[in-house]
Amino acid sequence: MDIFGGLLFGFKNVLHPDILFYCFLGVVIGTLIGVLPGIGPIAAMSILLPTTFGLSPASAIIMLAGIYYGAMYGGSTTSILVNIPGEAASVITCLDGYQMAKKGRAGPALGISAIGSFIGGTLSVIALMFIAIPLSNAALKFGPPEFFSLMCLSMSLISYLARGSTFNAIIMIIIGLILGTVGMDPITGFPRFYFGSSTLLDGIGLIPVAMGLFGISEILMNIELKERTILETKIKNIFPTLKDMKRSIGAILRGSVIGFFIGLLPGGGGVIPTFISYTLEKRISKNPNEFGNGAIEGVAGPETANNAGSTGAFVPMLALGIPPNPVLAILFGALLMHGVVAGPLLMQRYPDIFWGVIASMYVGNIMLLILNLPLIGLWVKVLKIPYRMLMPLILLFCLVGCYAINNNPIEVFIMIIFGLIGYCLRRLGYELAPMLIAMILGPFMETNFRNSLLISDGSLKIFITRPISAILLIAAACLFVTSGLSVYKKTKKKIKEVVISDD
Amino acid sequence: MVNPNTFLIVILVSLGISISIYSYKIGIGSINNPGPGLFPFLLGSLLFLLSLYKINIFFKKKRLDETTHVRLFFKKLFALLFLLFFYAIFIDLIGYIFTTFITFSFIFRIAGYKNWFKIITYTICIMFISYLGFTYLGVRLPQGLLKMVY
Repeated sequence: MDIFGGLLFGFKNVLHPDILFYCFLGVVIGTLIGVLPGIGPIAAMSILLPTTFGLSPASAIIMLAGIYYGAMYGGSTTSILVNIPGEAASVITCLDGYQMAKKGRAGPALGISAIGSFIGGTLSVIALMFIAIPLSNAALKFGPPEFFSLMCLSMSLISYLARGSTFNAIIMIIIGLILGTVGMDPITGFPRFYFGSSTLLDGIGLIPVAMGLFGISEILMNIELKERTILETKIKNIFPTLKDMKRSIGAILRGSVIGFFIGLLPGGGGVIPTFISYTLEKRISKNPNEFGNGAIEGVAGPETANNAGSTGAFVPMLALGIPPNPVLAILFGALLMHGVVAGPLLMQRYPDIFWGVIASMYVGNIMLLILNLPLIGLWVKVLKIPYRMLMPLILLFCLVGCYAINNNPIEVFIMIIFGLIGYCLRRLGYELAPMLIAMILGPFMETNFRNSLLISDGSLKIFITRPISAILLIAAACLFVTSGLSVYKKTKKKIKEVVISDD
Repeated sequence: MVNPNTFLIVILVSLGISISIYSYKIGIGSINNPGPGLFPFLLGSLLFLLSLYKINIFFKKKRLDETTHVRLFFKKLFALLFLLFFYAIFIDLIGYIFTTFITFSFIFRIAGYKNWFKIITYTICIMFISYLGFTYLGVRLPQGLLKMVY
């Protein structure tokens, strides 16, 4: 199927009333999640995952994908009006968005962020189509050694691009991979680390872990959260003026390119492109002093970049079966639960899902533009819901959602324990995303590693004698060495400083 | 006061050792016929080695970490964790309605509500709305004590 034929097929599926409804539901929930601080798209998707079991795989994935990019749209509202990011990718929007709101320009700030998100999202979907297909065709030639090396490269990128310490991210990846080994061995079926529990025999469930790490731990982190103060400002002139558009269009186009290409990288996530876009806009601006005081480019660029990045992130998942961030790891897990493995064969075996997701992004972006421009007043009202009311509701959804997967209270225990682990690790400055991604990819990595050894009759040379595998491994090694060197230099410098101050 | 990083390092070292030993016991096989323990054995050993390196860094820059102590709200944290575990233990025994009512009355209190009338009203509302919503979605919620009545 060629690109246009595939796209038409995707639209034919998506425009079916049922799927259209789930796409709409996804973007509404996503916007809501983005607007409300205290719950991110990962927790929301984990909570809603059990409710998708009754749906077709295409409907489920389209709804969950809608939550993801919907949250990116919604996150800006909180940043602009409350100065608290609705989700991590909107952190940088606080700088200029809130300042614009304080100056009575909340309308244009919200408007340009919605328009930028729409343009960034749409351009990225177009790029996604043209990149994902040749990439998945190329990946069809991959064997177990290539896939193992690709996963090694993904892990090293995730640790390299981690927000905190690279060394801590590597530890998190190893713990995630260890968690992925719980349950039956993927090749021999031998039970491992299951402590006699039938629940653990199938492995640690993705939903309890994701809900615990990102839902419960977030609640524990926010336990003393003070109520938010919403800026009392009239939201008018939501459609930016011609002058605002002229100032923003360059930032929007640059944000789209930056967001898409960084979104492709495992670990690139939604946060890094926003910072790069903001820094770039500030550097090339004729009035850099305006940045931080309400420059519209400071809202347009990053907001576009985070949406473009969220769409770009679908490329490695759809084409290679590598989820580049925890949100797509949940989507990857959701597909697995429906018996579908994302990767190079997805387009051939499940064209309804592959093209359906792509077509739904076009439709979803239009829905989001409508939801975020004329209905902005509604989302401002949602913002006024006090956190003390939200917290019990989020907890109830986590508890019942987790219980409902298999009507098994042990999974609720697992979720609470992972919530506590997540809380402690976050307090100590560890990032949780690498652990979740590694946990999901772990069984695939192990299977490919062992299959490679079986094919080569135990020779590790197979990883370096096959050209693609060798290139991927060399790239991974380079990343590890450079990040290791930078960690070593930083630690040495800090130790020196302490020794000098002691003297 | 003991630095929380110390606990974490002890846990990581113990985890690395125990995983390596357990994996070795279940069989790492041979290089041309890898067993179920090979991959976890490699991971456990790697974790152990990285933890040793972390110990090395930790002792060298102990003073730096002392500045990273965080303010914790133990009272509310433990109360909330207790309630969550209570929910997990009792949901099957006494049922969705009663467990949700008891747990969430206290959770609303922890969240910051002071007036018990409001707390009970909100709890009853979310209990029934969520019950109807989840039942509509096809989730079978445990009856518990209600089984004796019906």
